[in-house]
Amino acid sequence: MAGASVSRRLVQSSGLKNLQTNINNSCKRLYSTETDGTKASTRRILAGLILSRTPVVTPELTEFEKAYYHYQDELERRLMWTFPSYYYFKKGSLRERQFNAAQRGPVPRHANIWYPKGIPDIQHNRERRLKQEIVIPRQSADNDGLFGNNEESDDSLGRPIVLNSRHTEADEINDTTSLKRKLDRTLYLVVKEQDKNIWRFPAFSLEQKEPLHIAAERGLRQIGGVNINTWTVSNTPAGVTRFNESGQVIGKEESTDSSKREFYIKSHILHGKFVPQDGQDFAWLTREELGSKLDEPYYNSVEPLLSLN
Amino acid sequence: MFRIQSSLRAMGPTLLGSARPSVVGCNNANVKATANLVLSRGKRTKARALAPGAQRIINMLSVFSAHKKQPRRIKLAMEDLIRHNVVQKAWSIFMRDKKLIRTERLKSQYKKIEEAAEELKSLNGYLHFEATKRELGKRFSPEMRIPTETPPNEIWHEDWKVTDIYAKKR
Amino acid sequence: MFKRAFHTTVPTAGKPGVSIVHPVHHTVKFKKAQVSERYRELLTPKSSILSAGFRPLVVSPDRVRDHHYNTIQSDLLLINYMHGAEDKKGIKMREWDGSSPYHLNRAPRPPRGRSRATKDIKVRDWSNVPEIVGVSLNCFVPEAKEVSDIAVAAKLQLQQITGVKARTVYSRSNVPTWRLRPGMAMGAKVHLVGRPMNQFLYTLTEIVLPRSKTFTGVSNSAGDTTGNITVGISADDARSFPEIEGNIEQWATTFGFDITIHTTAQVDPDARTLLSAYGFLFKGEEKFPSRM
Repeated sequence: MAGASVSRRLVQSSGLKNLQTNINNSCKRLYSTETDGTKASTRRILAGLILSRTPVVTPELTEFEKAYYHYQDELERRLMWTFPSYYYFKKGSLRERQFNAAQRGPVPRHANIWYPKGIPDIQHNRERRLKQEIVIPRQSADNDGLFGNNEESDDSLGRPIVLNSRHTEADEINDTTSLKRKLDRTLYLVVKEQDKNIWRFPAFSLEQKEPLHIAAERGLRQIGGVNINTWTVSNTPAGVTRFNESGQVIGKEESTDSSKREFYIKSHILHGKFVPQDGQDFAWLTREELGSKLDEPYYNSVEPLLSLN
Repeated sequence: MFRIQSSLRAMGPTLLGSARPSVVGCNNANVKATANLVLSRGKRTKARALAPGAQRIINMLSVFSAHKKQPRRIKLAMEDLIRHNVVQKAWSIFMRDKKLIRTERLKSQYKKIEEAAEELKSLNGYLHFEATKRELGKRFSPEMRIPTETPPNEIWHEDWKVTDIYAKKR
Repeated sequence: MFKRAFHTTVPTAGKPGVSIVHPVHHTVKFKKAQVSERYRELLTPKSSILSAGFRPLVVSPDRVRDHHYNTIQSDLLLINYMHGAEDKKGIKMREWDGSSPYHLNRAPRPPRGRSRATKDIKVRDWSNVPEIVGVSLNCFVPEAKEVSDIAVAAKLQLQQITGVKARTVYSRSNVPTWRLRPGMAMGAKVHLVGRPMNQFLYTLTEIVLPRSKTFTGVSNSAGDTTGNITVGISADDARSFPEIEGNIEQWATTFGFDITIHTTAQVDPDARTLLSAYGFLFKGEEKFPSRM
């Protein structure tokens, strides 16, 4: 009586003692209805899995966003208070000298000189009419003895910071089986149904006394190997798709008790990769790519479950 | 003359610092010279200098202070002001549209969840009970990361093995 | 002498009187100087570039907010879903039954065994997915009682860490045995929203907390029952903030502080689920309220 013990544990942990009778009643109802009819309904229910790889890098900006952020950034630099360098750099110290040497400095004001761009207004070595420009002194690896001057070794602290590219090798060859593709987008796992030659989210039939989210995770490891680390979002299905006998997607009105149904469990892949155990075709695709890969009625039924990004 | 000099000395460095040499020796050239000599020897700077701790506090307070740090106010021409307002308006419309799409998406997702749970209830009581059971103390996986501007050195840990979990626990 | 013809209530306790017959004229107190032309500029909202206090806020993309909208929000919607849930009414103040004429206008009594009413819990749906709305830092330094300059350093530390101007907090109580008087500067506080808030949060979860030697997780018992979680940062951990660490010779002493994370979650367990998505780890046994 696994269900009863789970529910008892639930009641004990949550301290909802007044609910105990209700849950016991519902359990009784569950087990009393466990007839051939229920078993038959279990056979028609599939646990679908929407396995996604969440973005690794931030979303790509549109031209408008770039321009707007640039404008706001410039405005902020124009309106910000003068940087109090006297607080950060002790007077007469080496770092103060390095900092001052790196600054470009404003155009000084002299009497009897005509300034085409207006008379300078300087305070604390800052031109008050313009935006503030602060240059951070670059410490090259060879003149800074602190961190060692070994430029060849990869782990010296003085090495220059090189940013990794947001565009990867998998992007170059458009390798849809790779998880290193389209780093700024959410990718979804779809597999090809061998007999029918159509692409679907993986779906698995249930075993005896198996909740949907357990079945989805078990099925994934059966078809994709055990070396895959996932996090199931919830035990609640995010949506349902109904099929008729010939495998066509049908609406709620057309469905009968004998129609097949797929309930989708959402999950995120954290580490590892999907290795098909029986040579099944699979792909990690973005939302738009799914639109062209999946047939239209199926895509329309699952599209609201996908992330916008 | 000597008396003047000694009395000046007796007054101490504070007064010497504030006294103008020209006033002290207004008539006599000798007196003036002596007074100058005394002044150059008396170090008043030390008496006036702040304690090092106090100077630190003043430095700290000056970080908060707007004194001498504020730029000039921005004065836009009418054209620039209109341009600025158009940009701001465009941005707010852009953000509003995004928010609208996001809310609509969430709404449809909620409807989908509701529909699925309702359908499961009508099909199988056990599965519905398990699916809508409250997950108390649910936590997101700590291995999920907030996306960064550029990818990490190892973009994806593909060679992860299921035994890694046990290795970490140990 | 002419007197106003309205029926008015008596102005009391510094509040102006209100006329009680239709049309109801609320008399509003104002200082005459404030309506002068010279002060007109002060009425310009700070969001306008014409205001002297204008500061652009959206200066860069916000990766934490993007992550929330792209991933966390729809996950939380699914996690918090409760089938067939209905609004749960909070325990409210008890009204008087009106059996006595003195019950008229009498303030309602607090609920039995409580000092105040509790909030309703609404159905968790797409319109109220929890999110973080603000973070407030509060730094209280008891030593500032003896040396008032310490409060200045605490204020500067908060300002350096967050990039937002902090405010001094002053003591309000008078305890002669502790030599505490009202008006003594005792520390600093700052409230963060928007980009500075998100920047602070990821600095905390990605840099400061993982490097801490003493921090073992946010306590599962922390929280004010309405979805606001508080976590303390020790003076040693405050040194790990990059703004302090990069300038460590200036910071002989650092100060610990409390961080309160304000969320729109209706109960604390929901808030903890939300915070775990931002990289906070929790410790200790979690207790669940009977009404959630």
